[in-house]
Amino acid sequence: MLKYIIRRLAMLIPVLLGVSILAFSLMQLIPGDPARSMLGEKATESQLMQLREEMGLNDPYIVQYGRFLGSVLQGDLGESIKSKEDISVELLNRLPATIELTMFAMILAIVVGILAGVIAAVKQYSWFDNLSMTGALFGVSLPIFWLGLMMIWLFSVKLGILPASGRLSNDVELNTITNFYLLDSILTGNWVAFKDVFTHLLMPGVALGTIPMAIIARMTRSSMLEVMKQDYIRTANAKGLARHLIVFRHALKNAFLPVLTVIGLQFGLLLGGAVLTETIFSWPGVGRYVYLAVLGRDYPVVQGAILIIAIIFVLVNLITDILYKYFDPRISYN
Amino acid sequence: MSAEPHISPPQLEVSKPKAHPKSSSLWLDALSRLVKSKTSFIGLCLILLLILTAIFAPVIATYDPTEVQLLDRYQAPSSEHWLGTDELGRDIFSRIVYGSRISIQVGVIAVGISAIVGILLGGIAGYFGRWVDQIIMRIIDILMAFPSILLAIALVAVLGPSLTNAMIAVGIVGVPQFARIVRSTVLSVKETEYIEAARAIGAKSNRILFQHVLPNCTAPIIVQATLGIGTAILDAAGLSFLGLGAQPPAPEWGAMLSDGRAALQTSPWVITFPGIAIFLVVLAFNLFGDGLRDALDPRLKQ
Repeated sequence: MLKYIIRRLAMLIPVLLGVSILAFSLMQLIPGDPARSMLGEKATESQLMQLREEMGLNDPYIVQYGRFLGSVLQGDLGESIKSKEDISVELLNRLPATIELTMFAMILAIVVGILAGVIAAVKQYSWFDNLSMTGALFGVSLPIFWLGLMMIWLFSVKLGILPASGRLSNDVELNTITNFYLLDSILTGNWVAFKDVFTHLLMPGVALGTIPMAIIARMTRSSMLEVMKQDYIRTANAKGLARHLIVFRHALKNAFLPVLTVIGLQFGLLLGGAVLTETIFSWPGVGRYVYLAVLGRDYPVVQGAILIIAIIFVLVNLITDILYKYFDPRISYN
Repeated sequence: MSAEPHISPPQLEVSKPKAHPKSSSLWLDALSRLVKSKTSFIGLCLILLLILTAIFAPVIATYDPTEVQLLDRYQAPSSEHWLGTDELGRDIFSRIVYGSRISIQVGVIAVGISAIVGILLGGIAGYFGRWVDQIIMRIIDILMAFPSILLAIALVAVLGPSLTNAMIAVGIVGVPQFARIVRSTVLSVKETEYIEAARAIGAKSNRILFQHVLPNCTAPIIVQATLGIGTAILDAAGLSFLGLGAQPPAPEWGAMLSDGRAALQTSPWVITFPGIAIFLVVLAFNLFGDGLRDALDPRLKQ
């Protein structure tokens, strides 16, 4: 197992190098003069020259890339053109908010998705199967930004039961330790804050989790149907094993592998979807940071943020592969 | 027929396929399965409705989609303005009707880009194998390391916000799907005997690839393209919602949602209907694409 993990880590190096080349090359796609595009039409020639010099835009491509890679390896993503803040620090400050939101959405999607998928498969062609699969089909077709807005209208504007934006109400105190607010409120035993953070997470979490939930439900159902047809399930039935033991112990364990792959891939969707969701719910995470940087043409921020998110996504896929091997030792990757 | 013995004479066996010559065609078989599926039929009807709406937009629309009527701002749905008006008094129904043209354009062009580039890359990688395959597939791996909508956002951010650039960006992030599907199909097709035969009579590589190998990938490509149009429309609407796609005053559905955000509290209809339009169109392509997949590959059907 350890050997396998080490080999997989070694295989990551070329992918991560490629990711860094692509993130770096994005800047080269800026039409015309990047310096002018960043500073705007009013910039004087000396300001432009200063920025080109600062950013090393006069050097050859390969030298620029080498310098970029060197700084990235030291954890330095440069500074924002607009605010002059250190991008690595800004990203680190915002990552917990995004990870908390995506984890919440993912857990929601996994729990509801797998449960719905299992029940739909066990009771195939029942009203529950039809209802949940229709729901799943609708779920994958929903624009999440629209779903988010409609939820805000219903739950915040009309009913006034859920907050429409942010992570925490202004009048609620919370001592932050990890910057994962839900965790912090538990660690400090602050239940008022816990409830507040939870209600803030609910709508963006549901909006972000809908598509993965639908996809996981469909995958679980088809995978379960496949497994439930097999001989060992019939044997388990024949020997009179309790139904719930067959479904959850015997069938789901084997049906889970394809679902696991889907879960790994859905993380990418969540990290991307976070830009839309965080924008709608004014969630102070990386997604909103990217959005504001795009609007402000703050290219180094866009570059740094997508590099970090791609690295996170690559690592999540690595973890999925390792879990895959853990769950199914029959698989060898030679 | 039931009166016949179990073991029939050989000539009877042979005559059977002749009696149903149609069933020998993959496409006709698929078509008959497709029409039988209720859900894919609904999808097809919705797609036809979308196309007809786009063609006859000037006839269906009750107002000019970009006509500003400041006195009629934020009118609730009524007999005069069926779906209400927006912040500039423009008729939402007419804007949605005209927006169908943008959606079709976005879906077809973006998927066209993905398909052309993806088929070429996947075909070349699968057919030539070895280092060509290695290089192309590593590039595809790198593209797939980025969450697709995020890569599209970054691409449009550097190229500059516009509908054209949004279509290019959504097209580029869709390339890996096509490349991988085509590569795996090519890998299995190129081992077949008729390809060996083509090579034996001295056909050149590009002729074998384009005349003999790629036509066999048509079915999976069509399925991917249909499902891809739904995703492309959804992603492009997301980009426009963020202000990176269609620019005002274009009646693009995602942009309309973005415009309506300011009046969410007082005029919810401004965001309700464009969202339903996006949802129905994406649903249509998903239903039809799922139906096509089941019809073209009955083994996958659950």
